Amino acid sequence: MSSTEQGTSSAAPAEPTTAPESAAAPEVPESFYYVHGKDKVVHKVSAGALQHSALIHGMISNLGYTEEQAKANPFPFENIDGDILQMVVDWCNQHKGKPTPPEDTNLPKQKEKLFDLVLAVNYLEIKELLTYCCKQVAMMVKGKSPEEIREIWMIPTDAEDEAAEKEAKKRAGKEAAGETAAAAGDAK
Amino acid sequence: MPESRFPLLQLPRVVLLECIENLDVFEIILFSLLSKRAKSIAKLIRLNLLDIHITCEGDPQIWFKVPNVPWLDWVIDYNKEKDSSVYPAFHSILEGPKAVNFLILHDNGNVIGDMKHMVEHICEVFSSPISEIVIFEESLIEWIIKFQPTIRHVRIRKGVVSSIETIDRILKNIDVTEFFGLEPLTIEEKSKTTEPIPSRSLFVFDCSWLTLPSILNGTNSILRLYDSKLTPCDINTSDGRKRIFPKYGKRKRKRKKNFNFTETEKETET
Repeated sequence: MSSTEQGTSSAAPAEPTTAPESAAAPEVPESFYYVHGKDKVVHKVSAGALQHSALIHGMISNLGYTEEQAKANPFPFENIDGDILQMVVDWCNQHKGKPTPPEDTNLPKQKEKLFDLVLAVNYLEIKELLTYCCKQVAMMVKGKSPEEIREIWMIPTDAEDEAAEKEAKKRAGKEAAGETAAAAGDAK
Repeated sequence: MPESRFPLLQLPRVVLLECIENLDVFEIILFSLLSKRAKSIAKLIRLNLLDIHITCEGDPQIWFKVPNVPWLDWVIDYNKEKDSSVYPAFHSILEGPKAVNFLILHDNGNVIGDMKHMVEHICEVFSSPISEIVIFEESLIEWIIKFQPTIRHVRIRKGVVSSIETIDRILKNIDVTEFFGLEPLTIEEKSKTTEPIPSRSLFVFDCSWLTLPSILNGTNSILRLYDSKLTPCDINTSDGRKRIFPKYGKRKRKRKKNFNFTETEKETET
């Protein structure tokens, strides 16, 4: 298992001021946690950066890991591709402890990547990044005609929706019949 | 999945709605027209109520405003000036501190029908009523009676109404709550109505068909009558009313306090 050390450096502590109480204040070391995606590549992320994710923040709060335990047990996100998790970790590091700007121009432009990113961000409950992603999705259809919107967002026509619904009903009927037959076989 | 496409409807519902909430008014309308499913999704968004106007400024147009964005107007305009391949087109103009965004759709010969469908669609998606209509075509009368008989502001364009029966039908079936403006009608000179005219404020540009009982039976509080034989004195004083219509003398107290403003103007030919 390889490991990438992302966002490990925190800002250098400020020089002690002349105020005696500041000098006396104990310096709290930053704690780090580890996450990996489908590709098993482990990312080391500071607790400050992970605060953006309500899901991971909740996991940390509930588990009460020490740094050693966290290192030994990276949080597994098997449903998230490695490159997408890398993007999320990068974003969390870039925006650690900072107010989030109204726009984010660093989001992926490729629609497929953006789709996976939206799913990951929604799963990880990173509210600000989800807001940016949703704006980016909306921007895709700026100035487009209805047929272009249909094409870009893959919106089926009513006829296609009806056909898909019929197909789903047919499949469900077949599955139900199969289960009934299996149950009857078991009974015999 | 093709590189240039994004399967929007496969997103979790909450995320999908957040994406749609970021669309502007035109984009929401165009999206909601794509399919029944798209329309039902658009209806789930917490949208602002729209102030919807139907008018005709050369081209038939649907205007709307979002009340908390008073500096921005949205206009769907139907025209046939250009080749059909250029439609729909988007266009924006600045008018001083205001901006107007246009969505220009093709007038393919059934513009009134298309416009009615579009208005019904917009009213449903945005859960908003029509607030103003300029009736510039006779078929709009029956449509508005059926679709939304209570409306804040109605103006009937010159020459649209061609019989006193149509005027009576409008007065009996459309409840105008704020402003009713009637431009000159193309009806026989002898035709008159005694129906009350609903609306707080009434502007009539050719009063040949209008009678004093029609005014006295109504609930208007602001009257502006152009080219009328009636004077403010006729309408507001018991002597005047008795002179025109003696039987209404008994109603003088009730009527007098209803009129906050009465003005009549005679058009002069030069």
